[in-house]
Amino acid sequence: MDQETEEVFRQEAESLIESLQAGLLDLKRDPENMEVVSQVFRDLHTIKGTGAMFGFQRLADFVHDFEAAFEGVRSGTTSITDDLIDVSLKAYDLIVSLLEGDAPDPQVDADLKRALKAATGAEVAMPNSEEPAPTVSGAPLGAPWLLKISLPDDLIEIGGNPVALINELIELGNNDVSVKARVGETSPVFSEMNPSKIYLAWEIELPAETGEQDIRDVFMFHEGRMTLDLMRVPESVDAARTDAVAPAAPFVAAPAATPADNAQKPQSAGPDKKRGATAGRTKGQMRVPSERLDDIMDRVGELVIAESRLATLSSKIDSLELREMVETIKRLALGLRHTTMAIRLSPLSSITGKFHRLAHDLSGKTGKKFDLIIEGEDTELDKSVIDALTDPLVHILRNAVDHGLESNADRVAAGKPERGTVTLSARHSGADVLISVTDDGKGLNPDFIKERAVARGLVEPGATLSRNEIFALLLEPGFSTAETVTDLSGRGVGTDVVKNTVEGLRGSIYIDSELGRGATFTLRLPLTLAIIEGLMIQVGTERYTVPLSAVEGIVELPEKLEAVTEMCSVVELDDNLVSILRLRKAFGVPGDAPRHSKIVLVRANDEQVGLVADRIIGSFQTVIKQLSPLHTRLNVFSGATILGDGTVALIVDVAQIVRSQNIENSQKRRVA
Amino acid sequence: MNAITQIKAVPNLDNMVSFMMGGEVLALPSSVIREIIEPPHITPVPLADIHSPGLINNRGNVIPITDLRPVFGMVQKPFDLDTRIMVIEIEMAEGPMVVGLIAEKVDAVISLDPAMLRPVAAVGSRWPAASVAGVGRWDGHFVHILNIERIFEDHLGIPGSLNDCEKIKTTL
Repeated sequence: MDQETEEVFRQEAESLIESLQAGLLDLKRDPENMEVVSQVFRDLHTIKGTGAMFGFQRLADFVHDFEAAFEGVRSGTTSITDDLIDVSLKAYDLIVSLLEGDAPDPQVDADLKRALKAATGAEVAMPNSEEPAPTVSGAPLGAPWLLKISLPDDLIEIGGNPVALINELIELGNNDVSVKARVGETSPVFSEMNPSKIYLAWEIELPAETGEQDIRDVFMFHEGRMTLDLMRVPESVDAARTDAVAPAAPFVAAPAATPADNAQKPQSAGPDKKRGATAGRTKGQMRVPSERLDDIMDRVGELVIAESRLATLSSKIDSLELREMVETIKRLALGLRHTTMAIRLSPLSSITGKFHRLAHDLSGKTGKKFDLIIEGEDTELDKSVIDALTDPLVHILRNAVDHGLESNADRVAAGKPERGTVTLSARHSGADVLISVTDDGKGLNPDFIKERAVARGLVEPGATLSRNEIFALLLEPGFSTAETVTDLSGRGVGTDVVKNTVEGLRGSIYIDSELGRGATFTLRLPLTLAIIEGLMIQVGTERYTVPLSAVEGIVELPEKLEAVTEMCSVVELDDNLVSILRLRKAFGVPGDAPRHSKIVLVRANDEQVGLVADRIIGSFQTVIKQLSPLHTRLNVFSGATILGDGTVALIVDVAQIVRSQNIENSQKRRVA
Repeated sequence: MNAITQIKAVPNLDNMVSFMMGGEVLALPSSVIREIIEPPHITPVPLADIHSPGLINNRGNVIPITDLRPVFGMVQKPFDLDTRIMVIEIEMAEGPMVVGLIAEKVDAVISLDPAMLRPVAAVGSRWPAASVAGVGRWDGHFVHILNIERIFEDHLGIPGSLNDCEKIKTTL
């Protein structure tokens, strides 16, 4: 199998198993839903078929039995039980690992097959699927099969391989197979033949014990477009029987034929093509490798930069026509940018299947009964953000169940509903997306957390911290380790990893809790990572960009503060105390600040901080370029961008700069 | 320490680009050099190390500028008409890295005679042994061939791509 084919198979299989898992979990909630049963059955059938076609024989063998179990459900001889769903989910895991190319112990297959049979309460024989074959009359059941086929004449053009199909039959028949090729009567003269078309029909004899459905399955992707005639050999047609194996080249290279439009040929290629593989997928969608999208995004980024350079140039030339053209290009570039970003967006529902599954497993492991409610599943985020989020969310969910929810008995004792509830909800908030995980468990005890933090040397014993600051300590590395977590009411196994991942995505985490009522972890994430709206400011001679999403306001630096030269200070602004950071000092710019400096109020780490800049230039589309390792370790800039005049400007990482410059200061304040 | 290991360590001695830095003649294999440009506008990076003071726009990519002179205790001659930026691409542990190296002057593409190649003097040289792949002779000058990946690894703190075994080989 070449790489491209393998990739196609992998993608198809991926969507199939997603659909399969979703179906199984749906059935758990709604065992009577026959539509879902059929869907599961179809998914299994297609996995089996494509798997066999692409050489995943063990997978195909296993799925065969899995499918049989669901055939039982479909035909009403058995019903969905929790047992069956449990076993099915395990069987699903095996399918995933087989697809990934692992080689688990073959005993696993056998055990699961037995468990499936036990769960359906039946000795399962593979019944016929979709189209039951017409019964063949007049021929003894013990007689060999005679299969007459003529394949779609454009099979090779659409990427099929008739030789592979025939080889598959030969394998099915344990090599005891005879293959005869027939030339269609109305074939064109040799000079008019198209070497990529099929002009042959075949007669194939297979041993009597070969399964009828197995034979039909070989052609499952073409069945709508070919003629297939399967019957028991009427007596003594055995004459031409040999052990011949069909040699590939002569068949294709020296075809004899029927014209393409011959009536003997099946109907034209239609939506039927690869029918099995497309089942369970929404119409009109296509899967595209994410690198291609990244590529488009890069180019759109270049276009945005080129467009702003063009705008700069045109402002120097006084031409109405040119300006009109620049406006048009600006509009087109903006539209293209929005469309491209929309393509990259993916709904949260693309990963929620995993969470339902996790909830099922957690419920089994912890013995706690609870409901997982997912809200705002259609909220969209950049695909790369979604992918990176899966692990942190799994982590938070697991903690919510493990450490947040009480046991069912304790809940009843506390006067709560017996079943716990964990809610995962997502919604938009400006240019950000908020994803929160809420549980109605025992909540976080701030005193406990603070005690622990003091014991671990994370805060000074006398420090006064707000509730949220205390909860934020949970995310500090070294706050808690695996063995302390169980005896602590808090959570925090590896939550610092969660924090790092989220901050790596330029997001932040906020924790809130009410003791005895539950806790909420909220992740705030940017919609996209490639292009942001930026506020351009000037410090000294250089320009810098601050992500506009972090900016909460801009005020003039009060005159009485202009003479102050400390890098950080706390000032009174509109009756509020605000820490301000003088960027001139932070960046080591020599000389005095100009008059009328501005304070850019930003939100960083749940605190409002003022960044003092010399001048505000305006807001701009900012294409983010990564910094090299030589500069990322500064932890002050999150990237750079190219301005309209071709020079480079740095993007200030607000959270980091405040932390690196200001944390000592604010800690001192707290301790004081 | 024989000629064969030296040739392995410094491939293609026929195709070296010689340049000046701190008054010394240095060379890099032309295979690591993408292009040589006149210094464009350099955006300073506040708080950055002295050896990587800024960023430039190189054909739509943002790349860092590297100044090796302070690393090896050389005087930083101000930019003049001869100053060039050598855009080099080197293979480091976390993937290829493109940087603009400041050169006071770029001379020529030269060939060095492998037979004349010597290791850097162990005593009295400003160059740590690992930083120089060998010293050759060209046009009456000594030419230090820089082991640029090692310099980035040892002096600029970028994890290198060579394993220890290869390192021993390249240090001569």
